[in-house]
Amino acid sequence: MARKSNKLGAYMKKIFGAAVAVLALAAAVIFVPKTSAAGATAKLPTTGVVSIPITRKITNVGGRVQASFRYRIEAKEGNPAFVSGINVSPTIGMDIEDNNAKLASSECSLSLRNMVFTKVGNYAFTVSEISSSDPINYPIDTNKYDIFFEVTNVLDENNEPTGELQARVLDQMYSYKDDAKVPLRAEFTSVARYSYITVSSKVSGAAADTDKVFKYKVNLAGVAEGTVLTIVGQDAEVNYGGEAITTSNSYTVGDGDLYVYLKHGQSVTVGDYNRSGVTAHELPLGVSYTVEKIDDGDNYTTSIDGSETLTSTSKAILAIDDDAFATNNNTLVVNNKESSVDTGAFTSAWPYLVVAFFGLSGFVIFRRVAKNINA
Amino acid sequence: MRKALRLLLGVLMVAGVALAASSVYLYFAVENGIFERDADELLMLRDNNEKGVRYWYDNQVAWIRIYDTNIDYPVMQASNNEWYLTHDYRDNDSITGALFLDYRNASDFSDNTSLIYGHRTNGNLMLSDVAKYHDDEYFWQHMYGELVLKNRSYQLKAVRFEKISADSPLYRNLLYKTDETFLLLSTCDREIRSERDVLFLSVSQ
Repeated sequence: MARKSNKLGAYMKKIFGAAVAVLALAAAVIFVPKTSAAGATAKLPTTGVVSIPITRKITNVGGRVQASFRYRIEAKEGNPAFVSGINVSPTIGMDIEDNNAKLASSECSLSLRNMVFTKVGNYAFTVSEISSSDPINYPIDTNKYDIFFEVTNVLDENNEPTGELQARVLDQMYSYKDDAKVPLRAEFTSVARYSYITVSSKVSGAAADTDKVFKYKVNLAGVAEGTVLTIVGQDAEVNYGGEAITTSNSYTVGDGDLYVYLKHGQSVTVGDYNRSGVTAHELPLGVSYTVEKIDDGDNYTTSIDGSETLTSTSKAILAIDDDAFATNNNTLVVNNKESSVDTGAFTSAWPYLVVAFFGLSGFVIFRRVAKNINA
Repeated sequence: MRKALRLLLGVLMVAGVALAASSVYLYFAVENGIFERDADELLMLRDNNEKGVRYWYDNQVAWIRIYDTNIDYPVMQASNNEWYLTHDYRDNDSITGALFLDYRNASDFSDNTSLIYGHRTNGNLMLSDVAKYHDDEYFWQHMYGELVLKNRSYQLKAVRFEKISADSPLYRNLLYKTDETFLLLSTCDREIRSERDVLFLSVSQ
């Protein structure tokens, strides 16, 4: 019986011990376990948050931005202890709803919460960007950053450890770029890869006129209605077919057709915003556009981007590329008119004699008719 | 009714006489080449040109002179090859127009081949004398000239005279030879409208 009671006592002791261990582990996770030699209780800073100032920036914003970026946070080797509670793949979301936003840059920051340190010392983590929700227009920044933490004891008024720990982010952050060891804040940046298009006009041929204004229709597919696009390059006032036209330096998608007016040697850009110190492009990549010459009956033949077939209303369909200088984004329209220069047209005197003959004949005929009437 | 008809016939007779008279006038005007309405001013300009005093019109790019010929004119350049067919060097309407450089040519005559057009008239105006180069003796006696720009002048030497088609690639490409600089004077052939009389001049400093 005594043996039985001893066995039960030992079993109860094991259960009790296990319960204590579980409670201790729970306390370690929730309340941060003791780490100091003095038996102090470690804890998070008073806010309960360790904020890592990761900044996510997009520059050259030329319109609506809807994108999110995912990161990876990895502990570096040599940390004093395992750190729990880290969100290893946090996300930053950016949403600028204004189709017509023109911003030098837009940025968000990231905070890492509930990191649990269990031991004093210096810790290091590496932060890298691993994905973008819109990698075409907002690619990831491949830079990596080391972030250093310092975990120390909280001291009481007698400078004795209270048993609690405090953590702070050190100022130094080092870029992996070229192994340079320079203080650098963790800032991930994308230059918005929106683009713009250029339409250029030229004339060729002995009978062409470099002062003649040509009218082109530019049709953009895939750009949100209401988006205001910047137009740069055409004369403010043009004379097209005898009609005085005041051109605009902007076009709202969906508000009728976009026409541009160009003379020989002129170019117009659509979607290239550059004002008040802000440079931004307004056309998303991959959308297509067409350029069509409006036929004005002046017998010019047209080629677009070197097309061999000359017509009066050639048309090009192109997908917008991320490189503003790419072939796709630059449409060259050449209007050709060949005709021999007639340097002798006005020197023949015979037509005047013919007209004189008919004039005199008319005089004689009418005179006779007049005589008959009088008779 | 009869009165109205008489009035109408009277008007038509006057119109017929006026038309006949003006046409006869134009016939003799063109035949004699008197449409250089500012002949006196042109003579004065030529005279000043001799003295080195040159007035430049708005679209004037040069003055060309072939010695001992009637080719002694300002050279204009417009945005096309039509304007100076019917406008003189002051941009006034003119049947004989003005000599003009092809709109595609550099106005400083730096192209390998520069092309100057001018009317062939019934008299000796504009580039009418170019046709005379068909005669060898005339050619050898009138080979030299000068092209005066605002800031420099070139010596001209006739090297060739040729009748070419108005559709010749020369007019499309504006290129005669790539290794030398040439100035071409082009005017119409009097008999065959589809041909052009062209005088090729070498250009040197």
